[in-house]
Amino acid sequence: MAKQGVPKPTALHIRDQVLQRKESAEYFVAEALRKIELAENKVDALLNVDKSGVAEQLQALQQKLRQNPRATNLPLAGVPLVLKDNISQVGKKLTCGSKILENFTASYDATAVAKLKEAGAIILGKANMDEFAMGSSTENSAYKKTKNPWDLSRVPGGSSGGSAAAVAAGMLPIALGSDTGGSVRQPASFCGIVGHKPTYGRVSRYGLVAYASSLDQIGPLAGTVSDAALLYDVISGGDEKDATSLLKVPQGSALSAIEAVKDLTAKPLLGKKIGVVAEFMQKGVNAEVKAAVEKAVQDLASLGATVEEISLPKLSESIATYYVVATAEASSNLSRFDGIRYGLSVRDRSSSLQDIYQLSRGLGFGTEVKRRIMLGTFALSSGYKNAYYEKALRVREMIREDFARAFGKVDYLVSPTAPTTAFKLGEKSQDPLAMYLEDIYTVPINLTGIPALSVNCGFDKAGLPIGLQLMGKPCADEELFAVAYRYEQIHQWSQSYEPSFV
Amino acid sequence: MSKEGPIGGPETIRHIARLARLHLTDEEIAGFEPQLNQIVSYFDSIQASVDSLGEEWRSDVIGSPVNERDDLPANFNNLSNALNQAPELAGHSFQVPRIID
Repeated sequence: MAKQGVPKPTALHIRDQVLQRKESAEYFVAEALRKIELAENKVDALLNVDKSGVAEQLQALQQKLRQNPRATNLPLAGVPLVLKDNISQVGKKLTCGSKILENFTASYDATAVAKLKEAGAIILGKANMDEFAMGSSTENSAYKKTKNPWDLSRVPGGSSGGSAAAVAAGMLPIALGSDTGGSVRQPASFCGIVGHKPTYGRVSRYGLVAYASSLDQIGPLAGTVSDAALLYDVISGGDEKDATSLLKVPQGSALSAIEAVKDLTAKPLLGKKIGVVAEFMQKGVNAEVKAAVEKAVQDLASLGATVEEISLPKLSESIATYYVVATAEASSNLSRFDGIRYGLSVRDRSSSLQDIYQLSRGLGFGTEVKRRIMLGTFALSSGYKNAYYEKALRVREMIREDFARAFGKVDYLVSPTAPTTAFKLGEKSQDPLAMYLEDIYTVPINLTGIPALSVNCGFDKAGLPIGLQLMGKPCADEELFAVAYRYEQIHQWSQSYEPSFV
Repeated sequence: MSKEGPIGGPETIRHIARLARLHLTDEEIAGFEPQLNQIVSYFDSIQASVDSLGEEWRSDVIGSPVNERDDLPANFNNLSNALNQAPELAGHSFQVPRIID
């Protein structure tokens, strides 16, 4: 149910008000907690709300503001947000949406979290997610099913569904998610908000519980492009604690890129070429989604860009390639959950070592997680590794070559973010392969490591949001934010529609 | 009798579960058999992929380098955090059942 958009405080507004001493951080945090109370029993976005932690953080912020009355280096001062529950916050529970970590407490801050704290942000708690980030609907959480604020009988998308729903329901302006095969972008698309998957290596994975190490990235979710840019700027940057971090690439400056295109009379895309991915606009995409994306492409052309069709023939193999690579990496990454050093441990006096491993994992992991571990174990097993895993790595390289060729011809690529709008709870949960095919437009981006943003580009007849995916060359994150910002200014959907909760 | 898919029948599923250190109930095995076979059949589409990379390309040779620190000894100062959620401890070690008879 949508209603006329009510101005909600953006993260930029909140931090400006707090730094200019026009309003207190306590006020904005209290407002967020009030909105959570109003909406949470309908939306089920959060796994916990950490009131005592919030009080401590507000005290620490007040001290920083007192010590430095002219503080300008607190880019997120007083901004309330939530973290997807696979991102480590010291001293707080870290469940990854799984029973195997039901009572696990994180012993250190993720680098992204340390940066948020330094920036003055107030972390309110943890958001619900598909177990170990495996899923496209948040229905695989061992704890609860999050609902889409636009229609409570539908999924918010996944695996960062809790983070996306919390922002879309107006509880808070920004949230962190993680994206391995679309898990930030697809929920952003289903929930009508902005989601960004950074270039692989631009945001540290230190403290992100690993699902598929060559594909995972932490990404921002927000109600506006500028807020997503603000969050991205804070969390990005090289990190020596992450061996895959791009150490030589500086911290993000997406807000500066947006500033550079703020003149709405100028055409920022003059001389730029946009490629519409042909394979993504053919079969399998819902007609209303296709129409909305085609209209969005015309809007981008009105900003000065020329448009051409680009073919990426290897895309037809990207889902199979992704699921072989991701499940293989997951089977290795999740072997650490063994009931020996932490987490659920099923043992008695007669247990053998194998008993402890098998029973702890058998009881602690949900069905989808077990399914993917089995697939990955199979793909890596003797006799099959060459046929599946090694072959998938070769196809992945060919997909990379396809994209590199495309970016030799155009500056940006566009596609729908998802083939459909939000589906009903339970609709796809019995058919794993059907669920996997939902990721068709998002997984190639993770396979190739390029950056991508999802922004709202309209609504279907049922009033459900449709997402536009903008893709760029490696390290073109800032440019993508600028393009997305100018596109956003054309329609200003967030001012016209919102779910009617708060 | 149903035709076995690319993964095979219950015995192969049990074998993979053993490799993955996962205890599965008979119900779970019965449920996974058609699903895993269907999904792996879908994976087979990459077999048909025309390979344009050439014989020299190998995934373990060509790829982006990871950052490495110097190979010098370092101190780990978080022993209590590493141990304090263990199900069973023996001093500073994780207690496991007897492995060798």
